[in-house]
Amino acid sequence: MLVWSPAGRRGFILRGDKMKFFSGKLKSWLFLSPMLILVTIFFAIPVVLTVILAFTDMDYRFIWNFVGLMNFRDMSTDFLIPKVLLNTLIYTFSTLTLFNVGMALLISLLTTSISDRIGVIFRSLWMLPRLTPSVVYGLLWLWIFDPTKYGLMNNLFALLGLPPQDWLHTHPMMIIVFANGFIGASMGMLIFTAAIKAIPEDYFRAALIDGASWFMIVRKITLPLIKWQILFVTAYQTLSLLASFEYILIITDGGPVYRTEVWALYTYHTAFSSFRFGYGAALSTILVGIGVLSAFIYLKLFGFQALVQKPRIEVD
Amino acid sequence: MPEIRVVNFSKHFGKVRAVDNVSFDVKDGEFVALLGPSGCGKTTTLLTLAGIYKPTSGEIYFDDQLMNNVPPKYRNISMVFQNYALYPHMTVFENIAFPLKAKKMSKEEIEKKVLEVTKKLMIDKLLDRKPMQISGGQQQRVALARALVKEPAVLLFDEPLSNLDAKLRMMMRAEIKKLQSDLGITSVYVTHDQAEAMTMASRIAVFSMGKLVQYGTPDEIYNEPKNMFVAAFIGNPPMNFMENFKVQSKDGELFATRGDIMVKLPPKAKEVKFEKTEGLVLGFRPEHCKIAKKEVENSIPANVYVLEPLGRDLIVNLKVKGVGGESELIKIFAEPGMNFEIEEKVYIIPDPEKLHLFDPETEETIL
Ligand SMILES: Nc1ncnc2c1ncn2[C@@H]1O[C@H](COP(=O)(O)OP(=O)(O)OP(=O)(O)O)[C@@H](O)[C@H]1O
Ligand SMILES: [Mg+2]
Repeated sequence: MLVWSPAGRRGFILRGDKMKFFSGKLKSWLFLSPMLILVTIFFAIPVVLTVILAFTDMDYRFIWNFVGLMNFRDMSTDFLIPKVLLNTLIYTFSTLTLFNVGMALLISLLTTSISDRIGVIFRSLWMLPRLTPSVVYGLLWLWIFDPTKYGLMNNLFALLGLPPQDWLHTHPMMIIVFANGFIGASMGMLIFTAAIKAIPEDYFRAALIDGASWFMIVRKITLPLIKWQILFVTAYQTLSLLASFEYILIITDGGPVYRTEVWALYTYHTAFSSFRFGYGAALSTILVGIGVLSAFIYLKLFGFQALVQKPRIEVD
Repeated sequence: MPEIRVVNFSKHFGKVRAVDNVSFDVKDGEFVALLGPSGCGKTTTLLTLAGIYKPTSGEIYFDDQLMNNVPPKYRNISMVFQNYALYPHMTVFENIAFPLKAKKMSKEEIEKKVLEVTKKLMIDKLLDRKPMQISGGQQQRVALARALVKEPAVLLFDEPLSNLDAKLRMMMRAEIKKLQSDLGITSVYVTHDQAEAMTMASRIAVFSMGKLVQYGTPDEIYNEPKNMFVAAFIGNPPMNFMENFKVQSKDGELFATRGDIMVKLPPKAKEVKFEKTEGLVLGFRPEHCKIAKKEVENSIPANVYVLEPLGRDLIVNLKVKGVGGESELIKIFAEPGMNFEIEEKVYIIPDPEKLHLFDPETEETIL
């Protein structure tokens, strides 16, 4: 244990040789080491393995046969790639803007403007899908958009006297955006709500007294003050949307005819349906690259440097 | 400028009675202070005047208009907050311009008004800075500028000076008072600092535990406190209290006595109807006494305990032998030039005109 003594800036009650051992750079690395070990095992090594794998043509026989850039050359001639890329773009962008950030912001702003109790009830309801197993949640959406007259939507249509629709064929993209969005919005909602509640009440009071409308308060005070949380959720959700495919797998499995095949799902199909591990790894490598690139773009876009305040205390 | 009337106003938060049946009025252009210790309901009252809170019961009037359900926006008020509530992501200019933007004023007009008010408050050099980049005193001025820029009919202050150092506080005190009287804006000023209330306000409402204890001019509050709470809250150091006095008459005069202590009461005591004449509390202010080194009539013997020199003044702390053996601590302002030794025996001579008697059970003032 280190005990602070007011004797001097480095006045820990560990003196002499031990003091020297703990000073400077070495100390920082020592304290960082548990995290570094975890990051290495669970993040760095898989990424490195994936990248190495991307230069092989490994298949179901698991042979490490290095083929140079062949996988990447294949990719440029793969006729599915443009389709998959466009799907990924549409899926990620619409889920993100409409739900994971858009809907989450809207719910947070609305439920923090009404009475606390109703707000809490509403937000708790929104959390329910999170507690549902993915498969059950996926099946729920399949039931909602079931093409027979037993589906929920078709039931509603029947009430209006309309014929049943084959939703999964007519609007597959919309359905996977909805399915991912309704569950994905809850995280942003939690973070935005906490951030809004952390804004000192007096800012809102001052604005109300100064005659600001609800919209003006949201635009001029709330949103700028939770800018950092919006950046975080946007960046985080972009990455998780790029990498996630489980609901798409359950609901449409990329179909019909690749209309909902996104990059991550295509990677999965390549590796685990066609057993082309080498090509799958190459696809993954590109996905990681896209993720890193988008994270950097967000940081630039939001002026990350300006957001980070210098620490109020100086630590050496 | 409107006159404000608060009638039987109560505000409860669940079981907490933050404000309980309070009535007072603020005249057109008047400067009124709400004074009281922490948690007594000052801020709650102010926020209700602002329209942030709705009264649980009772009415708030601006002139003859009932304001209970009028939203803040339509009250034509401004408020200065204790922590200033300056928006951290906006520059000083944007902060001050905010109320005008909310009014959808033109750019040129906003610029003109902001420059005008910032010149007056001497912060026109800081317009491009963020609140974090200016000092506390400057932030205070920015908050004041934001409140004044929209030329409100009513100004509300919630302990605006409590975060400043003593010197700056004294300066701003005078400055705010001058601004207010120049502009003639009806003002309600919340503070827990009795000196601030006494120096700035034309009337003071003293709050205690959600109740309005006394409402009057600084003079009335100081000279005729309604009860022991007000007597103890006003003045620095506060009024001295001595317990267990009896009222006795001798040769047609009234005296307060305890053991061998005997002090003469003022002639007006004869007009008081005493419900009880024993076990009363005698009160006198530190500044309303003299100290004699030799025994005189109608004085209280005491021993010097500690001296607190303040440069211009000297506060002498004295111990007076109490009833049960334990002694009472009394603070007195000594006359300039007097010297004291610790443990020295002296005699306190209270000014009979300024003596008070209180009922210790109800704490109400008898005299
Ligand atoms: N929103 C609220 N919910 C519940 N109780 C509250 C609320 N606001 C104030 N109170 C309570 O009401 C009482 C009065 O509070 P208020 O803020 O008016 O005190 P104050 O006189 O301004 O004190 P201070 O000098 O510390 O600012 C306190 O007991 C406080 O705990
Ligand atoms: Mg307060």
